[in-house]
Amino acid sequence: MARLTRMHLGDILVVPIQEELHDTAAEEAGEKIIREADNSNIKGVAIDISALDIVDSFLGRLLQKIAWGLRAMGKEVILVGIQPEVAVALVELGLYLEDINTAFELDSALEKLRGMINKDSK
Amino acid sequence: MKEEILRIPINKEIDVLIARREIKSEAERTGFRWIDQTRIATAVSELTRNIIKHAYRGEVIVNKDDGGLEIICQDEGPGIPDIEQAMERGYSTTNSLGIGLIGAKHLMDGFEIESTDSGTKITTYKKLK
Amino acid sequence: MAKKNDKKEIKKLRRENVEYKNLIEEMSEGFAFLEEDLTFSFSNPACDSIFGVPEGKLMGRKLQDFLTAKSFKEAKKNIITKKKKKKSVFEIEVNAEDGEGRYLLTRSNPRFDEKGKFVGSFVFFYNITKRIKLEEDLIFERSLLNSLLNTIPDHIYFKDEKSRFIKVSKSLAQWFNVDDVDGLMDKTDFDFFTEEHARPAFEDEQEIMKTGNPIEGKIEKETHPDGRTTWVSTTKVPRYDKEKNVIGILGISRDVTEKKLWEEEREEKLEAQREELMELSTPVIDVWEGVLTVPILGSLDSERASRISESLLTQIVEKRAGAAIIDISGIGAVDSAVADRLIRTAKAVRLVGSEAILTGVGVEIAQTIADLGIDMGGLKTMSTLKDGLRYVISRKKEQRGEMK
Repeated sequence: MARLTRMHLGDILVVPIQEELHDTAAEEAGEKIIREADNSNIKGVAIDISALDIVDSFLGRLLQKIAWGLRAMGKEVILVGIQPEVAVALVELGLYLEDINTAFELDSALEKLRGMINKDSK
Repeated sequence: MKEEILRIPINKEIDVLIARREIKSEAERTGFRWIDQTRIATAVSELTRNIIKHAYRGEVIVNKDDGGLEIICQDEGPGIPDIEQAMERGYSTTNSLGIGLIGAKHLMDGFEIESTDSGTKITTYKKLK
Repeated sequence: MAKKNDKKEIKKLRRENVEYKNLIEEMSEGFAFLEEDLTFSFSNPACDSIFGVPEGKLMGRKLQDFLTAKSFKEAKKNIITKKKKKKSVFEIEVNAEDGEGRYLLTRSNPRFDEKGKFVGSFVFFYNITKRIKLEEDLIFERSLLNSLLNTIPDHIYFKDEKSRFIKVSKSLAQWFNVDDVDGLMDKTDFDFFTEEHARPAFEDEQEIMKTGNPIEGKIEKETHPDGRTTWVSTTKVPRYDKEKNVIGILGISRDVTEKKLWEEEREEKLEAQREELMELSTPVIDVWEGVLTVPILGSLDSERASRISESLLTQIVEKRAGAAIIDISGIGAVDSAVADRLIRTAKAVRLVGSEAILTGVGVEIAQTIADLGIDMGGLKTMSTLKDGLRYVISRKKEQRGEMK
């Protein structure tokens, strides 16, 4: 995996995962996301996996771990673009990712994230 | 009548991605609905990951018959000492082997596992509906 | 001295004479002497009974009296001869005077005087009527079998214990594109079908011969080397010899290809109808802006749950529906498996970014859930669709408020 695309939209970090990652590469990407978010300017992270049509238990749990890590750092997390078939497979694997918020695509994700950040600051 | 349509060696991490991608395409060609294509690909991902993580080397064989696809994952690893236990505890612990096995079992329609200290063979089946 | 020997000699001869006489009188084959003009000048009792006359009454009778014209011609030809060495064996048909028609195998030994002139024949008559009748029956039955085998459209085949063809119907020879019915001798199914059909057919036959149990009306798929596939309904039974040993099988296969194709077409149509029905029975309805609802009626097995998930999730993503209301007021029994499927569907809905609400949870179902100790896992449940809708709309307002 060459590069992990990152976008800063104000205080939100957007990370689109555009290609399939094997385990080691996925873990590296996770570390990069956490490092990048470890910045007082960043209040929320949106991980966009709409390009992935296969998400297995490893990636599922990795996403969970990343979300926990980010939350531990006080950041809001949202998972964007879980495809219907991926949702079914994850549920059948027993990975409900319950404590991560989700959205269809980036627009609604950013809206939701904004809402969550605002709630925090109140 | 069964015929072998794919045989993919699993030696390195990237083979997991290759195998699941190819087998997903094959599932599509066979006529599986998209939801089942993903189930198959995910099961393959789980099982081939187990091969890489626990058995050093193995292969995936895909056989096609009138009723669907048979996917066999076999390796020359040290085997699974207690299969029942691995699959039972898979949910509650971070035992990735168990999680992978249970996951694959739920995603597929048929699941059989044989394991000795010279290798493991997992035979799964997805019915074409 | 000479006299004593002579006496002994004469005694011996007399005794031998008597023995020969007895032999001839008692033997079961007919024995006679026929003169030049084919009159009986001697006949033994067996001969008398063969010709159907009382004992001793054949003497002086003419052979011609008993034979058909054809047989008499044959007899004359064979019995009267100038050749000294000529012994003949021939068959004649006799109308005996006891009313019976008989077939006789006749053996004639000509006799000549010192001058070498033919004086008559010793003739042996063997009654072969039974054998001839049997042969005639056999020929008749064989012609029946052949007419059956030549005309019937079903494939009939006789095989030996190694499943090789012995005799087949013409229709089967044509099926195999073989001109001559005998061209199938020693061949097996493996010579005309591919392994896919030949192997199980062979194994069936071996099983039949081993257990004695026939196969009746088995639908088989015949795979041909040229790629054709045909379907037949097959009945196979074991064949036995006189000692009840198994010596092979007899099989009849009726072509049902057309019927099978028709059935497959019909099955396809039914399947398509079933699919349509499945789709219709769980419609995903646009009930409000950004809200989808799916009513579940009847039972919820895993196949149905899978279909519902598929269509619901796809539509949620397509239409960007913020909420999906799953209404179970029309559902059948709710047990832990059904609850499990509903929960999983709801969780998948959440994963794609929408919110799932379960409505139609009446008192009974709520009770069942409590009784079974099912953890609904944070899934919002309400008793009516209306409640669900109200909830969704108020949630939307809330979210908009939060974003300001």
